[in-house]
Amino acid sequence: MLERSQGERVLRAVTDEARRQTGPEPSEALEGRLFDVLASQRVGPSERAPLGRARLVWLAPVAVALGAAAAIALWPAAVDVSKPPVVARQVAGIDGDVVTAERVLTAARESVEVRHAGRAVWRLEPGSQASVLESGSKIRVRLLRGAMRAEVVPDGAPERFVVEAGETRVSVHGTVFRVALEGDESVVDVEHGIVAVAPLRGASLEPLFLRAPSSGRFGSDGRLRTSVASSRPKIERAPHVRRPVSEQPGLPPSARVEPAPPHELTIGEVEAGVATVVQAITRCFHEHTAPEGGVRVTASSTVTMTISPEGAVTDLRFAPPLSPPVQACSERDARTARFARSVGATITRVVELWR
Amino acid sequence: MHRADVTRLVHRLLAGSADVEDVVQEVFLQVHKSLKDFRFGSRFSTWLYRVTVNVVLMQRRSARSRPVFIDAVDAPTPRDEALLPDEQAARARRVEALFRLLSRLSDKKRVVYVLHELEGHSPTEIAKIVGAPILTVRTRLFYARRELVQLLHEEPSLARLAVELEASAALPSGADPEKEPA
Repeated sequence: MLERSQGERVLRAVTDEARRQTGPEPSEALEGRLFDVLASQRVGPSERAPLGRARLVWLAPVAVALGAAAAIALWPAAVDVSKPPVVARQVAGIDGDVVTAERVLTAARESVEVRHAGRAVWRLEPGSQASVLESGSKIRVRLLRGAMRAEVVPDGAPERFVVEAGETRVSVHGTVFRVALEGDESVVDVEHGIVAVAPLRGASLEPLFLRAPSSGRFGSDGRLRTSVASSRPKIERAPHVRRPVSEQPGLPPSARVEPAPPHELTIGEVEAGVATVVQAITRCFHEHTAPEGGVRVTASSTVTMTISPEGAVTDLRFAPPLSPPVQACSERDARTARFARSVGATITRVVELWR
Repeated sequence: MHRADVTRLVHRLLAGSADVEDVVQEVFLQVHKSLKDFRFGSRFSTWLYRVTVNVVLMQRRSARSRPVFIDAVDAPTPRDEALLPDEQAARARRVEALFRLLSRLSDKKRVVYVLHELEGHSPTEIAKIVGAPILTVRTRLFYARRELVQLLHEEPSLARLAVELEASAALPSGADPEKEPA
């Protein structure tokens, strides 16, 4: 039998060894399996959660939590079609927001409907294949084979839904349209609304606006070959429309002035901003609290902060309130914290302070 | 990043069981289901750890209620009586032995021990994760340590470590334990 102190030393030593041991590596296959399970569970239209934030909120952390913050592919070469495709005809519908970035969707004999709750529904026609490149605030789909038809909910923000087909890039704001790949050409039919079509790789070229009802055939270079309009041909040059700065190679940083469209704060952005606020509060607590006689002073308060769309902390409330000097200092300093631009948010966090 | 953290925590809470990957998958499914309830009232990682702990405990409960083969019941817990080829293998055996001992603790004690001693969380954080008062967490930690110390002698590799530690403590500082005294 080990003596108590001796046993404690052994326990400490072996615990240190266990802490240093890294354990099993997470399996790369886990992510794919997980998203397949989620996709098969979420059959049919999904409703937007009451807060409106839920879609982004669950998508972002699951993706982040899994280490699946996949690099956003800007060029078609980055699309990995070698990954095991999701054979989508096995389910009646797919929630596009849970499909892993760069996963390939294949419609075999039946068409496949992909829904992005409250934003867009697109249908992959039989024999077609596509991959969801982005499904966050912007939905970006690459059509790999066949044809797809999309209905996009009108939205004031630009570039909310983009289809890449061959060398053509079709971006829409609120419309019903179909894109098909025919050989090395792409055909865009606009049933309703308006779409901007531009070569995928030609940042310098201005996009064409195709206004419904009309269609255009675009060549392997992404330029318009022929256009067919039904009753009212409306193909317009759109010199005032600029592509997003992120897709304009060669621009100096100073020229990149286009603000990002407002989005809901991701968990990472919330945590980064909250960390700054908590640091400010902690600093104030240390500056304005003087423990006497070796007594440890602790305080706990729930802080509610209101974040403006510009990312500023506009309001800060403590329950229960802190001591007046600590609270005044915290309110002043915490307001210097900057969150990412967003649609705004109210965040509540418990802070525990001690000195 | 979270995937690695969750995998490591599950591995430790399951005390080296082979079901780690299934449980990790269940954790993230649970995260998906429950995320709408997350209101930023705590750090996301704290919430994620809480989900992980709950899933592991559920898994262990259901595993206990599953029928087990007689062989598995009768099979004695493997002990490491074999000779150790080198220090690395010896360490691995000691860690395995610790996990065996951890698996003999109650769920509550094992969870706080793993979260505090292996994952490095403070009692305050653990209190949030397990939903218990800080004092309770400290009490569980105290009894977990005491129980583990009492169980140490049942693992030969840990008993050997005690001898080694005692021998190294007896040596004057800077002395090489491998070297024969002059």
